[in-house]
Amino acid sequence: MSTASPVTAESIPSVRPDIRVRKIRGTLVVAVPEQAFELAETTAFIWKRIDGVLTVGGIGELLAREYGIDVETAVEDTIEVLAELVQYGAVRV
Amino acid sequence: MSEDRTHQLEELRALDLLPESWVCVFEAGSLVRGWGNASSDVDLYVISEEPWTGEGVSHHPVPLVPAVVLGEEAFVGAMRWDIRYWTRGQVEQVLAKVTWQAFEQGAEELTLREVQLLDRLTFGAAAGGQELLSHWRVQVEESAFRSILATRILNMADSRVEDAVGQLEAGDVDSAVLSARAAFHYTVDALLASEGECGPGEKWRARRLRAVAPDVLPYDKYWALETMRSLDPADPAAWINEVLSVCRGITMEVDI
Repeated sequence: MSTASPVTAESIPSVRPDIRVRKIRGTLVVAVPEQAFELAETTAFIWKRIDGVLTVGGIGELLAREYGIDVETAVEDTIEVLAELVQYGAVRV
Repeated sequence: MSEDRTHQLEELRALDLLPESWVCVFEAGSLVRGWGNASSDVDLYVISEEPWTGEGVSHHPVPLVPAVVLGEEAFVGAMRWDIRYWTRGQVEQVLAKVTWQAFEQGAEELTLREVQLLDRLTFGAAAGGQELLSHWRVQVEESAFRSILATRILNMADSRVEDAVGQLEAGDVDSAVLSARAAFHYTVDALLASEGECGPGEKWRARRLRAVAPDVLPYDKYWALETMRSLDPADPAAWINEVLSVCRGITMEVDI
C-alpha cells in the first residue's frame, strides 16, 4: 500500500501553533506532544521560512539560493523534509 | 565611564546606615544606566557579612538564609535613597541557584527580588568593594542566569500564544488580542534576557531593547507592535496573527 505525500510544491505549510520551539546552544529543537527532536541545518532553514504564506516551492527556491543547488532538487528536498514534519505533527499543509 | 561614588559610603556612615561588616556597596537602577529622571531614586545595595541590625522601614521575604532583606530610606539633599541590605551569604546563595549545573538539573525558581539582584550586580557601580562586585559580575555573566530566565519567560510566552490561538478559534477576539499582546511582551522580555538585559518589569522594556538592538526585532518594528499601531478594529485577527508570527520568529533566535 503506498501513501502519497500530502506535501506538494504548491502546498502552503504552517507550523502548528501549539508547537514549542527552542534554540539550545545554536540548535533548533522542536517539541511535539510526547517527543522533541533537533533540526539539522537545512531543516532549520526550511522551518524558519514556514510562515503560512510561502509555498513549498517558494521555500525550495530560497533553499536553492542559500545553498547554491538547483531549484528542482531543492524543492524535492523541501517536500521530503516537510512531509516528515507533517508526519511528526509539527506542520500542517 | 567610572564615577567616584565613595561619597556615598561617607553619607551612609554619617546617617548610621553603614554596617560595620560591609563588604560591598553599589548603586544600581535607572540613574546608573543613564535612564534617570527628576523623580528617580538612588538605589543602593549594601552587602555585609552580618545581617543589618537596623529596624528597616521595609522587610522583603526571600527564600534564603536569612529569609529577609531589609530596606531603609534616606534623603540626601533632594534625592531619596532606597537602600537594600543583603548579606554576602544571601548573594552567594542566589549565585548558587544559577550555575550551569543547577540549570541542567532543573533550576529552582528565582523570585523577583533575586532576579533583580542578579541584574543589578551586572550593571551596578561600586561605591566600595569594587573587586568583589567585579567578581560577582563575572560569576553572573558566566552563569546560566540568562538561560534560566529566558527559558522561564519563553514558557510563559508559549502559554499566551496557545491562549490567543484558542481564543481566536473560539471567536473571543478581544481576549485573543490581550493574549497576543501578553505573548509579545513575554517574548521580547525573553529575547532581552538572553542578551543580558534581565531586569524585571516593563517600564524599561523600550530602553532595554534600544540598548540591545537585536537584529531579529528592530526598534521601529517593536514600537509599532508595542503601541498596536497596525491593529485594525475591523480585522483584529490580522494583528493577532502578525504578532504571533513575530513571536515565533523571535523565539527561534533566543539562544538558551
